[in-house]
Amino acid sequence: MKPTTYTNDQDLVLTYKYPWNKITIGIVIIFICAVIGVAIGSVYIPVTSVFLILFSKLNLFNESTELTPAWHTIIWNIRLPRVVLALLVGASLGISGATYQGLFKNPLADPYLIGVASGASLGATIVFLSGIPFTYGYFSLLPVASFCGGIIAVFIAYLISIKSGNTHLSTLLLAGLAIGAFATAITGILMLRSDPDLRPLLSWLMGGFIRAQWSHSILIMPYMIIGVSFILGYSRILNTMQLEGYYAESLGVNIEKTKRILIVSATLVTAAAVSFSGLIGFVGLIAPHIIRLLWGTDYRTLLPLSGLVGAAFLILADLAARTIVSPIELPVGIITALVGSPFFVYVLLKTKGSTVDGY
Amino acid sequence: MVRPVLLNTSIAFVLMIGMASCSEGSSPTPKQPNPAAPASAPVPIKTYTHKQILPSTPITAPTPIPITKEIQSQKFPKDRIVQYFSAPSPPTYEKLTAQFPLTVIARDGSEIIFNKPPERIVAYDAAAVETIFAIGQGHKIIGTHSWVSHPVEVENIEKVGDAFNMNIERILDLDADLVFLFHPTFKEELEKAGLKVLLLESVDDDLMKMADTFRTWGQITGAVNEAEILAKNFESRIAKIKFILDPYHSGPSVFQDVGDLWTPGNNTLMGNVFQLLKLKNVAHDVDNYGQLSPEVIIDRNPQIIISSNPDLLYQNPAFNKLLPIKNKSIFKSNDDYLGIPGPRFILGLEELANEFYPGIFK
Amino acid sequence: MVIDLQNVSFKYENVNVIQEITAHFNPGELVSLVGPNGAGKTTLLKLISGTLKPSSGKIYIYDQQSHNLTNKKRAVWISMVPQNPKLPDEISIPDFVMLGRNPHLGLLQWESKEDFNIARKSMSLTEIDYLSRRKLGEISGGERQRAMLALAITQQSPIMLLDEPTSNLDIYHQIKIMKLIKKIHTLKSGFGVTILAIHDLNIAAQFSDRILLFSNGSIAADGMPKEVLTKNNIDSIYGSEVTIITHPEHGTPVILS
Repeated sequence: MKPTTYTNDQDLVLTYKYPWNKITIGIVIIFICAVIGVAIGSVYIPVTSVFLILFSKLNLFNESTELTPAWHTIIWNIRLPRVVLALLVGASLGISGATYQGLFKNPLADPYLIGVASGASLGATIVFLSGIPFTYGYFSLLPVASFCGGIIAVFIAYLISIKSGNTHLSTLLLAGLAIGAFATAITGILMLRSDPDLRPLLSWLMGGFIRAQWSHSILIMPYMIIGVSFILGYSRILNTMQLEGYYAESLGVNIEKTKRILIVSATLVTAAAVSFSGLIGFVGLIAPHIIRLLWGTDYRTLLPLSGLVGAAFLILADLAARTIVSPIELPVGIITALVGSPFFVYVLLKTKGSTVDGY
Repeated sequence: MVRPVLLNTSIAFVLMIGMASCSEGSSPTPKQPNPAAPASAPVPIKTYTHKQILPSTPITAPTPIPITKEIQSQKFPKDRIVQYFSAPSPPTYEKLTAQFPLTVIARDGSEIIFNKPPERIVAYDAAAVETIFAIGQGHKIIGTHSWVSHPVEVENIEKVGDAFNMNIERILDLDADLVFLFHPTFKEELEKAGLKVLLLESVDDDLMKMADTFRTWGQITGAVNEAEILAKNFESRIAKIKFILDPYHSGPSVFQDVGDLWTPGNNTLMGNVFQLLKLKNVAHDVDNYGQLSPEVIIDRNPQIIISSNPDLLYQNPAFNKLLPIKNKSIFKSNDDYLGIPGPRFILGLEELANEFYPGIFK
Repeated sequence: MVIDLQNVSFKYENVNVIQEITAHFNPGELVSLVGPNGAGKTTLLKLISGTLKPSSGKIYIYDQQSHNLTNKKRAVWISMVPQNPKLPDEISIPDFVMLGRNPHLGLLQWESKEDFNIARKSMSLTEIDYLSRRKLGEISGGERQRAMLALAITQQSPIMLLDEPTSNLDIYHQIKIMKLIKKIHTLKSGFGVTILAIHDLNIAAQFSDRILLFSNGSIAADGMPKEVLTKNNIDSIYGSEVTIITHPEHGTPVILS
């Protein structure tokens, strides 16, 4: 809509259009990544067979009975659940990373900033080393322990920041760092003082989808849906929150309530993701940056698109993790770190210094 | 500003390095598997219960070796040999004599010289402890680490540390004249404190080196005959297995899960056990230990699965169609035997042989 | 009475910054708060805007107790232009100005064409249309001040509070922005209350209907510029030695050192 009093090169771009186009492109990219992820793996399956197996569930073709049952299992019980879980976890990390960057007004914030990672590690380590059998039939205690650990750590950090009287987010940040460091120390002590082979625990901590099953994605979904809905709902408010506290309040924003809702939602989503995938770094950091570089800082665009980028990135990272050193696998956290660290350095150099600011 | 993610990543890296260095072997040469032959009739796998191998007739104790220093709080006769093995008849071996001074080549190539047998040994290794007891020299052990639990006499031995922490002052206090390590950590500090440290080449992927380790302990402690008995016993039982399995080209395929799909490749101790037992290791192309892709597991279809946590495999629908899952026959491994390259290792080996070739062994 | 303060005090770490102030503000008034540094002018603005809560006393906005108002209700009535706030560098000027519509939008509601028009009009009023493609971090101090003013205008609130709107500006921009403020005030057709804290006495004198002279947390004088800005008042409160003449054009007092 062009105002009539201005020349062409000055038309004002004032109304906000929801980025449906960009979201559609994002979904298409994810779809392509997912297909690649399902078609490629450490066991070679010809592409035509891949599609036949995928469509076999629709009963369109009857040839599925001729195909190797092993391939069917690989596609439906290993690759697809992995790709779906990587999608969900990547989206969670991307969105919560963008949320934290908006809340802390710091482009270097990531989903693990206030203690989720350390708490989750501690929870998992305790269960792993306690000798409690951590499976009861179909129920595994490990994700529950790490989920609780992550939530509890953030909760304690939040309590500390409230008790201190200063609800400025930098207090929460420092409390989270302290709790996180403490949890990491306890984890370290537990590991060093025990005898069993630590390899499975360490590789869990470094993040991976090697154990991915359909049940994992199903279990994550409710947390993701709730958390992401709240975050996206508050996306316009997050824009206003980029102003200083009292300024945003003078525009009608209820800072404390918004902070609480966003922190709880982002933590919920992150803890759920971590509980099944371990600690995968850099996704929550990189995804928002890519969107920011392309399309600026309106959080209504940034939040959903960060999720989409995170999802695509993690699907591809998982693909790399399970094919590069075939027949064995690398933890996916290593791939994201290898790609993420150079990117991180680049951002550090590009942004004008990292000051912690916020509410 | 401290970055939690970088902190975690760096800790993970440090731990990774730690874990890499505590895994078996330091650049071993991979052993070539037996030349490929068409698979013979595989041994039928069926459900069975685990059988325990019990020691039978003991060996008569040799004349006790005089010791120069009294060790306190000994509840057991000083020269009791802990029985591990059965022998149908007392074997006749050439009587050997201990030779001193003795030079032992350590892992780093240095020469450790013994002028006489050590009297106060800190054996910081479960395998070493068991071996020393098995050759009747257990009373000379004055310290070990807290994760050693066998034989039962170890209860009375002072624990001077755990997996990664060693109380060097206490070791000095105890006046040890030999510290045996399985890991290079603390070697420098111990040597700086003036202690005599021995770090032997690890058994790695060559099973037969275990017998040589027994002999080395015999030479060091002077109990050469007992050690020779132990070593020859080990060698003969291995030979027996080889002999019995000789007519078979190959046995069933096997996958061992030590946790989270981590599995030993061929160039590991377990890999060698599989090769000895002619079991086709599904992870044959894995170097050392690695996390095997579940796709590959399904594709290579192991007929036997060994796991310390079978439930995790049972509950993953991806593995539903594998034979051991369908038969609920995942073998729960006993880490006590096969996890310690000492006198009881052969028990674990025989356990596996019995398990997977039922009816063929004894 | 739009704004009513009754015995309002404010303590900061046991120091009485504002002492028992009673004051009223009526529709149509353009008021300047003047006084030495630390006399309490900015603090009073923050008390009215709701940023600070009084230690004692009551504040009424449109006959409702200020602390009972939700942030949103208050934002519909009161807009503010703070002094040198930290602003996000990456936001575009139109997006920034559009933030002023926040009080009128529900949580899930996004800006409509109506909102777009209001923002556009604010930008043209403050003459920053030419900045429509620029980012907040790229523009000059004077332009930033006008952008903040545009944001406040977009809020369409009857009460506008401004904290030192002319500091850091050169004389040309000082006059320009004061004229804008006056124009915006006038556009509210007598319903608006505009209160500004300012340390430049001459500008206050020239543009305000009413001046409140602050001293040590209380109001020393309250009235029209020429009533308040007397040599007596200024010398005793500022501790200075001034000469006062009358502005040849406006008839308002001009303070000379």
